[in-house]
Amino acid sequence: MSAKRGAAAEAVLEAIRTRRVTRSFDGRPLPDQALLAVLEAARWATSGGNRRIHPFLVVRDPGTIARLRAVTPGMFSAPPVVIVICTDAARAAAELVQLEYDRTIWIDVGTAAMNMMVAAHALGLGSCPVSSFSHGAASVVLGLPPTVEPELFLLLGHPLAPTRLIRPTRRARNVVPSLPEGLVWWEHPGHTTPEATTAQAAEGGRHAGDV
Amino acid sequence: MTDDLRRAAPARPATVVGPADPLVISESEALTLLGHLVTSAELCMTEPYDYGIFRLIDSASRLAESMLPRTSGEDRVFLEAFLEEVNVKKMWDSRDRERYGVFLRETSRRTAEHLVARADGRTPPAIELGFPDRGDVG
Repeated sequence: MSAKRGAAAEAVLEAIRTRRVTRSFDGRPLPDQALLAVLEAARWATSGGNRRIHPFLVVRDPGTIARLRAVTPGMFSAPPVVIVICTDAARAAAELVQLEYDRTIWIDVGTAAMNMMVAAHALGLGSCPVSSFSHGAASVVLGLPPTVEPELFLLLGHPLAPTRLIRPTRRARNVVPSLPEGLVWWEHPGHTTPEATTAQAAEGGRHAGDV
Repeated sequence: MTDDLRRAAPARPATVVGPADPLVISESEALTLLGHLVTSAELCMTEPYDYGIFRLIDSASRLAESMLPRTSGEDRVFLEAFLEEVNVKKMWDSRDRERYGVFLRETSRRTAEHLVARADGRTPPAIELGFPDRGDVG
């Protein structure tokens, strides 16, 4: 790996490692350019079959956000922006997605949210995913048509307690990823120890052959 | 409510509002809290263990926050101390039942002490900041 590519990889990994959930915001508005950059990150998220049945509803009106907070127990403070990741049943029907059976729709909500959270962090912003809200009440507050379901709120803003990306150091570049036991299964359910990758196995095979 | 229960229900006491017992939250604040309580009840259908207790104590702190700007005297002293403690400790992991239980029991006790002292016309006991932390759990 070239030094340039290594630095780029480390910047991405550092953004992933240092992101945290932000529950309190300082009230400053979000620059349009930053918001667009975050939304673009959602655009590049994986989407099952590239079907894109999840519209992102951006809410910036303080009154609407205040009403949304009243029916969202999981929203502890009012952010300047709420991005509502929705499922559009009409788009799903057009793409022949069977919403009642297809679990990839939940995965797509997650990938979009994660891309946005990492992008927000890279831009020095804070974000918080919120699923604890009344879907019926939120639909009324947001004026959603019956075919559109709110799935997840992403709160976005400047953190009250400032966070910053840590500039990667030589030491940081050598950090070995740490995963709690059971968080990751490798190849098979319940397998908590990583198995050799295909490339390592091939290399090992050649060495065995040499011997 | 059945007819029997309806008959047994006590008459609603007359509301007394005046200088001695002023209103301390606005209509819009009350409606916002109503929305929070109703939707919290709905969410307790699916997330009671992780969040049920939290939603209640969070509702209490939201009520206290709404009350604070229009509250004075000993009540204000109590609410300020209440919020200083509860807004931090409500965020503790409620699955740690022992630790969270100490926090909630202490909050209940101090709230009751304030209510009783207020009803008796006494000065409530001085509030000692700093509810027992993990290290104080026996």
